[in-house]
Amino acid sequence: MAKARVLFIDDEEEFVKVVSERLRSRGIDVDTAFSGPDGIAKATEHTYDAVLLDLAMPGMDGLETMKHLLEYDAHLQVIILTGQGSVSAGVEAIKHGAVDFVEKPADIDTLVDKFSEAQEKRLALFEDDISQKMSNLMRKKGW
Amino acid sequence: MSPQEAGDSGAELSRNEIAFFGKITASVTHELNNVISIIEQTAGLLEDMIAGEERGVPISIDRLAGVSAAIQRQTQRGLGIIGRLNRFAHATDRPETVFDADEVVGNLVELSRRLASLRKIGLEFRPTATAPKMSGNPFVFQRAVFGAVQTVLACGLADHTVTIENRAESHGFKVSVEGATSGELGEGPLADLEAVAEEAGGSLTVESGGGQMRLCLQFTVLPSTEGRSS
Repeated sequence: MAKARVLFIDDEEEFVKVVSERLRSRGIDVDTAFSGPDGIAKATEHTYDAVLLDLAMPGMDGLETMKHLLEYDAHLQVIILTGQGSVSAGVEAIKHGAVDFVEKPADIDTLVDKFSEAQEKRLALFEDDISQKMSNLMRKKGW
Repeated sequence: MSPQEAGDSGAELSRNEIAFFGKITASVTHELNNVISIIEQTAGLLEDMIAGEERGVPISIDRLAGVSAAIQRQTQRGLGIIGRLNRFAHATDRPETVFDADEVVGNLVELSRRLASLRKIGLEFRPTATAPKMSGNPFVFQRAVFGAVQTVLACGLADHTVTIENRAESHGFKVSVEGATSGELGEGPLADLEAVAEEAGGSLTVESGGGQMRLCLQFTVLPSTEGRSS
């Protein structure tokens, strides 16, 4: 399978840079953004398997950013990054469409595993879509 | 007021004080967690570099220097946060004391910076030149100032700056909090803030209009004009 392509959105620039470097050395293709609006702009220009998204950001927070991201690409796999002791915030984010959440500082190998799972899940969703469309087409044509 | 009502009132006040303490510590520890997270990931990067060296990828001295500088930068940032939180926590040591209002408000502004930043609002603190000493409860004083800052932030405009200014006056000392706002505040938050200001031995005045809000907390000060405490 191709490298998982991930967009990492967090306003803590130094954290983003060091985590991205470590992910790249593990074969993940990482793009970065330091605010919700910048992340949304990148997600409309490029295709990603998953987004690693910080909840607490200045201005547009993680939940609002996720809402825009999912409106644009419903199959995007959003993994939320929360502070310590913010499990309830992570659970809330899952209710709003995130597929998972991770507490900072976040174990790098756990992140890699989650991105691989996200890539597979996204692929499966697209396969389901194609299968559904084929099935509808065949029914319509009476094949 | 009946003893029962008095008891209830005391319990209510206590909850508010705990809420204030909780809001500050939650914000500060969140920031501290970011610092620790960067240090932890940077240590992980060092491990990655060592693992690479074992596989024959040489470690660059420049990269090592960069990693070391990042750890030092975050350590200093963390120490600054801990120092500010420690000064804030010690405000509860004595209910009545003499304190430097510039130091206390300056520290509180730094602790409030992240909460303002989440609303994309900057904070600017202007201390007095004379470092007036105040007599009273520094914790309650801080709660009043924090309440004023939070009140202006709650209706503040993003991408603007809220100014907190200390000013020594002939009969006392004033803390004003001013910023651009998007609308009028309801009576509730101002009534709560007025009660906290009174508890801190001060009074609240509100000026609002033209898209600006200015909250002034007026206090009496000790006549001492000695220099800043260290």
